[in-house]
Amino acid sequence: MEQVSLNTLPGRKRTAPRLNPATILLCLSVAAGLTLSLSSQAADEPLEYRVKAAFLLNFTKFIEWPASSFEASDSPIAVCILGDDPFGTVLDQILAGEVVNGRKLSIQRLKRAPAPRSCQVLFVSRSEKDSPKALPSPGKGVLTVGEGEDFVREGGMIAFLIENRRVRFDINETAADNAELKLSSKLLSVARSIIK
Amino acid sequence: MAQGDPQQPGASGQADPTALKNLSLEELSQIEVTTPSKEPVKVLKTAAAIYVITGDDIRRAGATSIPEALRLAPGVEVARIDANNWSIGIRGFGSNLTRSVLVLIDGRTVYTPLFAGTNWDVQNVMMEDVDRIEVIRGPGGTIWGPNAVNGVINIITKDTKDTRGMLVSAGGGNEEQGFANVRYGGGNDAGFSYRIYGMGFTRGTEYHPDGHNFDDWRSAQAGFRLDWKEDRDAFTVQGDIYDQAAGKSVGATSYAPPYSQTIDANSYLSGGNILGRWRRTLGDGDDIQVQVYYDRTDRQAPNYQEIRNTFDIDFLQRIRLAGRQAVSFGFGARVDPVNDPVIVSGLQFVPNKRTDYLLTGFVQDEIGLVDQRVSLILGTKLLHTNFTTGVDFEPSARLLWTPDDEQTVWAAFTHALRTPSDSEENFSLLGYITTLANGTPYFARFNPNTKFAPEQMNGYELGYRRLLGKKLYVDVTGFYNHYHNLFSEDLTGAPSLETGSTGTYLLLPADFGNGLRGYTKGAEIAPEWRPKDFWRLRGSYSFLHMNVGKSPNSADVGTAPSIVGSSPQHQATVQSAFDLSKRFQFDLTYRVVSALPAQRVPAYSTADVRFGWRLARQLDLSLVGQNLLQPRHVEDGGDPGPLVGIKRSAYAQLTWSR
Repeated sequence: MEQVSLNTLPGRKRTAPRLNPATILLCLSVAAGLTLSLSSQAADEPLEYRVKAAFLLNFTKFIEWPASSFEASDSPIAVCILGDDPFGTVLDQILAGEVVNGRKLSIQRLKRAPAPRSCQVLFVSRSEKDSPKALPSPGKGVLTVGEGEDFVREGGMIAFLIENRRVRFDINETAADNAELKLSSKLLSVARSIIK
Repeated sequence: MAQGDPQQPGASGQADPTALKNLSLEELSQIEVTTPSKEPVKVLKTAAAIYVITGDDIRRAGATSIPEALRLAPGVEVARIDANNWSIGIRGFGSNLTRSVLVLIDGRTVYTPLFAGTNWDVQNVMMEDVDRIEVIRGPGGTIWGPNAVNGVINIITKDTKDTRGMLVSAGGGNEEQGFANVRYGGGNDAGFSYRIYGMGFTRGTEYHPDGHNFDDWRSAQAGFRLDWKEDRDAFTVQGDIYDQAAGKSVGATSYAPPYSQTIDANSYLSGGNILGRWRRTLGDGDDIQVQVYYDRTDRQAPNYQEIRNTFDIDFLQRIRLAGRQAVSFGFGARVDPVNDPVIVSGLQFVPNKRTDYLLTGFVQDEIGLVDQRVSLILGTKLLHTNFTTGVDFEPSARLLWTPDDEQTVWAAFTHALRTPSDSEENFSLLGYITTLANGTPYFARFNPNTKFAPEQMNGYELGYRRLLGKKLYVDVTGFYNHYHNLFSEDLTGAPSLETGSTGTYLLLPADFGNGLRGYTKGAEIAPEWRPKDFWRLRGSYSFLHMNVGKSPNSADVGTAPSIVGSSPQHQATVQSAFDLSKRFQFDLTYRVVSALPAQRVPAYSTADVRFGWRLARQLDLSLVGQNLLQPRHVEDGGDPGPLVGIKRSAYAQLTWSR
């Protein structure tokens, strides 16, 4: 047993901590931070939305849309953002020049629900959360993507969430089936959880 | 990019954001997005003072052991006694026994019922395998097991699907004299993955003014884990074995001369464990989990020995009900046959061979009110052990209010208790006082107290979390814990002569009673700020006020001032993680701890620095300097003899991963 005693109380002693070497080290980091921030580009978008933008690109690669969800055989896959745009320029940079299944990718920013066949992927921003269901069901051939666990519970198809500091997503397989979207088993295996 | 990649792509502001589009789905799922703008859903919605230390935080702090990693959490007092011994406590009551804190590794409780505390020297995990350490300050609420009075420390290792490939890391320095970790992970594409690892280290001694350099430490450990996911079921099997020699300095008393001496010798510590877990998702957030484990500890210290075999089974189920309720319930049983052979006559467990057991259950209902914005969580734990009669309840009520997505307010009341341990109920400890003029020795002896009652605590907590914009996050908690029936050292009679096998001696009888009570109150604030994408600052400040004294009619000898004076009133930490470029990282951790008057330890401040350099795609170099501000400083007086100085040290580590 390492610790038990009947000792009396020893005396007090206090010394103020010395700060100088630490202050110097801290100042060095602050100075480095300021210099780098002056010279860096505007690539200030949080990593989280860059990862989500990369996921959106991947979703287009691992999902099959029915032919009827496009206007024409050479229509691009339209990724639409409904409400406030959290991606900034990052989504444009990631989708630029990509071709998926012979189709290019385009981006639209919308303030209200899209016209039929004008969007294949509909990202519903958090700003739309409180407005009455912007998507009773946006129709067949539209993949709805949102944020937060509740999104899939309320009928959305894919919901991003942060778990253990990583971007994960849940899938509502029933909602996707109802929209006649075919999700690759690869996509399903990477999802955090699947709601049927 | 390999899994478990030490430095991540895109972390620096200058990185090309489109580099991400070449990553696979799995690789994207591994990137840690440590922006405070979206703290894990789990933390924001937890009605408890939880702090998550991530694997990345540990790596960037250069911490090589769990106690050193715990310094990053607010409210946790970590004082290094010597090279292999730490005093740890949460919100007060820090000691080398780390009592009243429940510590778990992957769901396996690692506290020992011998003294209701944790031996940190044998809780080694390969740091590269740690996914996160969740620290809950305060009573853990109803879900956690026994001993969760002042806090819960949950060490969680990575899923094996996140540790595929080969990883070798090795290094050394003046204190961390040599270490090597090897890990290999594999699996198939059908939900099965595994890893095996081996690790070893040799650590040097700290500074001893009397030249008795006893605290060197050598360890070898190996283990495995496999995970298998099939449809709704997930299985995990994992195990470890270890063997160590850790140098200790302990007091030993005996009835024969020399009556009291300090022994500097190695403790031989070995053991192993194997754990199996099955989890089935029933749909819509319902699940069932069953866990079984066996743990063996063989601890041979210079003054006592403990051989303990633990068998444990736990069951947990979560069900969502109509009316926005989520009910969880579970039960667990643990049986520990233990053998404590006598090494020195002044320290004995009576009887030597015993069986300790523990039965726990809990039930909790989480009720959603007011349109998903308010949650009320009510529940209780039930507890019965071989040391207690009947069933003890530990009820808890918590309230969580989320006015909007950016902030959370929570409040909690919990009644918790620390069950008695072998060291109160079965322990005989001799203390040498003096030798009388006629040559008769005069001892005091703590006799077993089979009537030792559980320590009781009522905890009141209030917390607030706020996201301020995308770059700043603040977590503030205040607490008031009221204790009674606290452990005390009581005199039970007048000195009288006793005759034993060694002759006659004068004996002052004592035992461990429940004679103290008091309260602690304080607050912790933990901000996290990301001024730039490549620079993250995390801080914590903890304030603690302890007021402990004798209960009326207590026979305690006066231990309260020593308890109060062994916890720091103020602690602060700042951690800066800076990505100088895609290849270089510069990290700094600075901490200040106020004085421990009862330990004769003055206030101190010190800093650790880490320089990380990606030499090649698969090769990383870390240069770490620790405790840099003084050649040495003392943190705690837990060893007999003079205060041990913790030395300024440095090490270099090379990591190769594929």
